[in-house]
Amino acid sequence: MTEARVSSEFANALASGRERYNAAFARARHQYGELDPEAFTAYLRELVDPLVVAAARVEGADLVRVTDSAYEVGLSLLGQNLIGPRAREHHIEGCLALLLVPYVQVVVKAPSTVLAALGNATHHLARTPGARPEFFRAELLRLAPEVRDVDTLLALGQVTAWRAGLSHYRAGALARLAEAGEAFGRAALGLAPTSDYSAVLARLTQDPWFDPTSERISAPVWVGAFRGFGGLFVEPPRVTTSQGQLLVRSERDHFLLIADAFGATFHRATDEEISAAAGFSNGEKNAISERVAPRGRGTVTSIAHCEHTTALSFSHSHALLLHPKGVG
Amino acid sequence: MAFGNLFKKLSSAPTNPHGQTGPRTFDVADLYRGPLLATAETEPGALPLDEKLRQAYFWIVNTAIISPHYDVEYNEAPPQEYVVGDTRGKLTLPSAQSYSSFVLLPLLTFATRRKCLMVGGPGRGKTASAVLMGVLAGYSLREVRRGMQHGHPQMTIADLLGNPLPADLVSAQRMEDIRVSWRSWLDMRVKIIDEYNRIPTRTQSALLTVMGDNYAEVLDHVHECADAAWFLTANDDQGGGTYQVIEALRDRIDVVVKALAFNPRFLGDLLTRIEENVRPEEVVPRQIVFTEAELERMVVEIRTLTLPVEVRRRIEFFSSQFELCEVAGTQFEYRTKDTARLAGVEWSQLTAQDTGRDRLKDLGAQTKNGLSVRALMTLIHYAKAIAYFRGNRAVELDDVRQVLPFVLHDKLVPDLEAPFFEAPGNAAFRTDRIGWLRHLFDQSAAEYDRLNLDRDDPVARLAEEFKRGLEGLSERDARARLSEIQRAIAKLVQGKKLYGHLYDDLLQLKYLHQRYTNYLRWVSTQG
Repeated sequence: MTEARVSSEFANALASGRERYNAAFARARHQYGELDPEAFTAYLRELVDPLVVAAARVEGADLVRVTDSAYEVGLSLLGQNLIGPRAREHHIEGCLALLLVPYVQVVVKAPSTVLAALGNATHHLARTPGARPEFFRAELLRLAPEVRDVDTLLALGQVTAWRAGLSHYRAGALARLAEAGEAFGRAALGLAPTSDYSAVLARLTQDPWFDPTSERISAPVWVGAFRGFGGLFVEPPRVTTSQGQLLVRSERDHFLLIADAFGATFHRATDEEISAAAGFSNGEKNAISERVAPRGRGTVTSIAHCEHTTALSFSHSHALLLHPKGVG
Repeated sequence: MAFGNLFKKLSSAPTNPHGQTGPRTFDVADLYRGPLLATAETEPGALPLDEKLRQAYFWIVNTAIISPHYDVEYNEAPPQEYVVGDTRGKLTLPSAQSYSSFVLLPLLTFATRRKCLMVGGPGRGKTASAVLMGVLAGYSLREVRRGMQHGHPQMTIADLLGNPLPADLVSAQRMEDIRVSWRSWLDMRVKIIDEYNRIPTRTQSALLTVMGDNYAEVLDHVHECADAAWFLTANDDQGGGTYQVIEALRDRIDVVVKALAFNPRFLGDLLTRIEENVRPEEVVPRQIVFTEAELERMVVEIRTLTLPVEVRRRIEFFSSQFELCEVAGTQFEYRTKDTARLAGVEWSQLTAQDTGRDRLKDLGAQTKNGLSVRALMTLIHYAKAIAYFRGNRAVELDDVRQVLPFVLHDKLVPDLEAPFFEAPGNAAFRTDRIGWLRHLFDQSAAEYDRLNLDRDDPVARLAEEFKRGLEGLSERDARARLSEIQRAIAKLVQGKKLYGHLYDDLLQLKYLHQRYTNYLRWVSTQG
């Protein structure tokens, strides 16, 4: 492994476990098949070296432990083509490059936990159509000076990932907000100092279409797309309800749709959810559907209502139109 | 720090989950689960110890020891069975989480700090398994290896326990002035004796003192040893080897577990080990290493598990089958196999006299001895340990059934000349002692059910009544109870053959009779 052109702190940490590191690389190469040494060296130099240098300035930091964790995470990421030249996207590298140094005080306390948490969270965001990994890392960067412990970072990440589009984590994120108190909640939600936090939290809990950082009333949103354009649907979907939730069918695939002001996520429906579904009707003509049906999307093929949302599908569209209830 | 997910991946908790019902929910904690493993920083004590023990088990069985045998079988529903071969042997696919005895029993030994003998041919992982237990206890590999005692024909007591300091030997005027340099392994929480059947007999006696009484003695100096889990290995199940193992030493061993044959289908895993130059004992994940405090706590937690009365009664019924030897004595209490053994009578001579009972039906006829108190205590310890390992708070009958063969492996000696072993289909039990013991327990359970003892057990009822105490019991009531005991005895002996469980019931009734008799005598003197 090349150790040139890295800081002396990192070089020393690598030298202290040279045999272990080399053996670990060899084992990872066996496990994952090909493993590009150049790409791994680039990872070490560009991501780990600055982290170790920053960690060296933290009193009591165990640089070998930090190096061990970052080394192992790097092998795992590269082995699975989640970073490096073969990666389909580079959000994980972007997240780690942006956040590791600002969060060094937290990283040194539990390097493996923090590295894996940031990597896995970004991975989920990057793989979820419509989610915003850039927003996730930008928000975490904004709040870095206020975070001093691992638990706070993890809770903050959960709330931020929800706000970045992982709407199915809404209940869990709200629970974190309720547990963590007002200071954390204000920071995590990016609220203005003048806002009434209790009222915001209460409304967030009651109304999934409420965005406390936006003055605008939630407008109808399009969700879902043709599989050829990175979506899930092979043919124009239809929508119905199952156990009070929205269920979508496209060809033979069924998905549970969870949506709120921050995003919409699709999840493979279970057999129970499919069997509990109401029929996928040909469309219920009513005032809303007549008014909102946009030009060029064809006729409304199905309509479904759940507690806070009305969903419509169209004969010429692979997307669904979601209307916050009470709107329009 | 160890590297490579290949060798350090832990099974995710919960390792023995219960089924979940209800509407689908999304757990925000899943945000941090994904392609990257974060396993290095689990805080000590973050997981319940039983969960940690299961994680240790699964790490060993999936990563460290290539052991494809799942011989400790649990079922939640009737298992799928296949009849195979001319002998019509059964291959069973258990319907619940089942375990490999070669990993599980040493781990339970580790958790209960008892003594496990691992037997099997050379190179089957006995020593490696024992070393892993040492690493799980928090010792470095070097410490474990240095602490391991390798039996050999020249091993002296000093080799085993420690040497007197040479300078003191020359200059000391009194024995107490001679200082002894004790071997460091005596203070380890995991003690490993490799090939214990190669240790000379005299040194075995010294080992017995350490194993049995937990102290070492050299030149009148005594060293109190730390409580420990013991792991002994032997290539020969029968205690052969270079020296015959003294019986008392064998008796101190709590469980015997066999290293089963290697399945060549797993050669690929061995190849990976060779190519990657990885030794599992060098890459034990930190999260499954137990601190001294955790080990202490685990022993206490296991002890506090409940052994329900219904399960205890079945253990009692099983163990009462074996001690009776009707022809060994004239006085009722001495009609035991132990009486015959102490008298040195030929076993075949005794069995020839034993007529009248159905020796095929009589479970006691299958063994040459009964169960000791130590064996029963060990059985309870391990039954609690396996229940704890499975995440339960009370012992189930299946727990007893699973650990019993390993506990009684060297304790219950089969009489291979007994009619049972001649019966069709039973010949394999001559060689498969684990199978035989499990079969024996199943037969006992079936007999217990046939006698309907769960619902109708007059002796248990009388014992329960006595347990409530004698205080305030009137003379009239005491006499009534005495009469009831006599009626119960008369009913039990009426036209019946004497079997082991009946023998113990009668002795119990005699005990109760005597206690009431003494009480009655005392009450009558109180005016």
